[in-house]
Amino acid sequence: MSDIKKILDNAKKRMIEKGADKGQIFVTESEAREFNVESGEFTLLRTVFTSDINIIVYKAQRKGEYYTNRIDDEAVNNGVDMAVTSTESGEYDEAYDIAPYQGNIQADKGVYEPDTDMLFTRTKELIDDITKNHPKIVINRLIVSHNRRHMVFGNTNGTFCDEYIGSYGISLGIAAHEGDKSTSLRNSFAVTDNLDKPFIELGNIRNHILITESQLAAEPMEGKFTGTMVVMPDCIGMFISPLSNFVSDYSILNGTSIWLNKLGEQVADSRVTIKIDPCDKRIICGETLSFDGFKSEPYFLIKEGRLESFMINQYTSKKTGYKQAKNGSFSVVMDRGDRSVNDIIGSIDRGIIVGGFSGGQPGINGDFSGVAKNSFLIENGMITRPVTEVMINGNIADMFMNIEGISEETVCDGYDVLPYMAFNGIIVSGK
Amino acid sequence: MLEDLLAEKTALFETGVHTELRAHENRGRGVALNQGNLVENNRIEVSGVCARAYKNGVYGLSASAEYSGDKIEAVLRAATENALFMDKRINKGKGMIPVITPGYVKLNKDIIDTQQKRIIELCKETDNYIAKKYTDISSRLVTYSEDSMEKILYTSDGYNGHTTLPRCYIFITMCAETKEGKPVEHFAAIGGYGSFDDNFSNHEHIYERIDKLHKELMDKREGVYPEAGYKTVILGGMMSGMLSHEAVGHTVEADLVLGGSVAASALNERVASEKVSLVDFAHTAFGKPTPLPVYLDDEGVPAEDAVLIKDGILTGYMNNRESAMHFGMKPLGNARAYSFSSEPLVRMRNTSILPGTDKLEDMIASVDDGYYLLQSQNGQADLTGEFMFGVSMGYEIKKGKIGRALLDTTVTGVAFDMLKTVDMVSDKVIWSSSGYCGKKQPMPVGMGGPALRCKIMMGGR
Repeated sequence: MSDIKKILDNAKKRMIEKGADKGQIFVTESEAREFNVESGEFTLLRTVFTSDINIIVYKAQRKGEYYTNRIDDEAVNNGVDMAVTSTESGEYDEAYDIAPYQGNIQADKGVYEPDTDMLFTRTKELIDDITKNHPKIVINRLIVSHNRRHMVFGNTNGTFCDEYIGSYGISLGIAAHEGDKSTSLRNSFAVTDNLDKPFIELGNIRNHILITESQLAAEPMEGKFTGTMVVMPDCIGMFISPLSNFVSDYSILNGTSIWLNKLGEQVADSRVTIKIDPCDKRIICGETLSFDGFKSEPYFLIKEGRLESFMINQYTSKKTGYKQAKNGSFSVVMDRGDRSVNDIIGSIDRGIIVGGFSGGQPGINGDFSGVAKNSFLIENGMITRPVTEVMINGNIADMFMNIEGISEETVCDGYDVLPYMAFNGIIVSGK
Repeated sequence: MLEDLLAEKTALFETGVHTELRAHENRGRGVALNQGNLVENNRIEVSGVCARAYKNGVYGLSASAEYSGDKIEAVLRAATENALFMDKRINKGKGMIPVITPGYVKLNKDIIDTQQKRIIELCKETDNYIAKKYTDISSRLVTYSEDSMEKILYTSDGYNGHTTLPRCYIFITMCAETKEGKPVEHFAAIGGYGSFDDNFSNHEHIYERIDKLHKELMDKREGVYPEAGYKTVILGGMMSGMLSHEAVGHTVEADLVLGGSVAASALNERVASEKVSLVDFAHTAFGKPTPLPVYLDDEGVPAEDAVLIKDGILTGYMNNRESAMHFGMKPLGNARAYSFSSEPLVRMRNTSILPGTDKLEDMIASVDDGYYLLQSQNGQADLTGEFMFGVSMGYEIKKGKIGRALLDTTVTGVAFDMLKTVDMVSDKVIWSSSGYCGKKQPMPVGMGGPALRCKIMMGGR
């Protein structure tokens, strides 16, 4: 391993020598060990050693940035020089800045030393479990990995951060097959800092397998109706992340956000609270430091339906006058609701349960349309049958104002903590 | 450009183990002006060395960011150890993959670097043109993106070579408000294969495209939601390119066929109307270079065209060397790796439906009540052949005439059902090449096609 603290110090020194007024540098060294399984069979063991350095320089209020994965002296010196040179062709902007002093931050998260034998054993156990107990399921692709990273950060205001993180990741893609019938591909993801439990117990993996099996009976739906959409926890992120269209640097800076003047106002049902919290103990190896060099702290994006913050960085904050977000992550922790998912489904006359969504990028006005995957029809409070070739259409902003219920059950996959959510007024159309 | 440090290390390839050794660099240049504010000004270089070893049905891979003699030896050792570790525990007992007669692919194109100052100037000129001429828009974003790839490859039994894949684009995004105050957005990509001067030595074509983009945005500002349901549509060339790639291409990638895609039971069967033939082109199509030419893949296979559908019959899959052995097919150079640490996966190169004989005007005139879909923003497909494309620009067709523009929507269908509804195919192919295909790793791909008349499920209201 390299002495990345020394590399950081040398790069900072050179940055000043080359005339930078201020700047910040991240240096990392990473190692990944990864088992790959395709079509149910082990295919590849991969070990990757990598490093990188990201240099941001400001000179006369002009910005330059350079990134490379080489951290030898020649590459780092060249990188600093390139970043400084880039400032000369940049634009003057008063808003360019670095974070003020954040202290000397030490972080040690997750599991840095992998247990490769146990990782292999858990992987094989998952394959054997699926093969034996779920013979209709084919593992299209399974990637199980241990990833670790040592990162140091420094800026010219004196902040220093030294972080060690390591975690195990599981990415599982499955489909069910029986005769000529096959289901949609379903992907599950989870991250963990220990190998205490079988992988099938992580996140929503077991549930995904059962749902995928039941999708073999899916048939196309006929006709069109407006009803309620119940979104499963591991799919709800696909409807939350488009909210970032309304609160991101891009839409706030250029003024196109439909929530531009909504800070402090009701933008969602009062039962909706969305916290961005990389510090929550259920989030594995959450962000320590934002990309701007601020120590990460939790914040409410939406609290009891009110918009509490935009997800903007220091630059956009200085340009617009709005407060910057307290971290740069998208670690979503949602408050649980007060009803069971079965109770919510029982109250729906006509609707659809959606386990996956394949859709176009929602427009900046929030309109979305796409294909409901791994879905089931709800009629008179009952789940009546799995369906396929169903499109759902609506508007993201309207959806969050028009909520039928939020479940008391939540799922944590190490990345997010999310409940089931039911939205009214969704257009559901079949063939 | 990369220096060849690999040749002398091939003597270290282990006997009885198929080995690939690759030096690989990805280079990026980025500039973005959001409302005239320089929000991105970066240069990215990611490089390293990768070794992959195959033994009895399992692979070992190792990669390092440091490209030096010592590290090349270290990754070769580690890759072989990984393959042996897997072989010992898994004991698949498969034999060696068939040998390919050795050869060498010469460097196809130099990657020429450009000063960041010139890139920023181009973006500023472009931004100024929009800001000055189009005061009726609510926002503008001008982004320059270059992502070039260079590889040196040595294999124990196949072709060696030194290849590049440079490309660069300016992306223009404009936003306007509808009468009701709702924002609508539209974008265009301008550029293609090659370096800065290959694509941007003059600016007239940029301005022409901006003018067209603005006209379409103004149409879209007055746009309507399509009616949801099963409709007759004309898919423009960019949309049929997306169809070729997402709906058909992915289902006939051999790794997904082995994973149970719908194409597994459809080989040599009718999957489309007789008007549909589809090819994944390697480096030359219709007598010209493809948008993103590929000459050699990352398993040492010289790239050739893969004919996937001929006159409506599914005739082949895209393979890597191992899957080609499994299916008894010839590998045609589809195994591609994105970065130095990536393993080659079965990927498309430049996928297109072949042109027919119909004229676009006649095709539009033939539709009584339907839609003309021109531009897609993204797409996804499933093992079942069920696909989805976002539609970012389209128009109604009423009684054979182009009508009102459409607001953003999505179309879907099941590929082998939908392709059987194709009954008109235009005589002109339109290519696009600015996007990435996402399948574990990103990958630059070209996609194209003629206009098609077919039936498809429209999202809408």
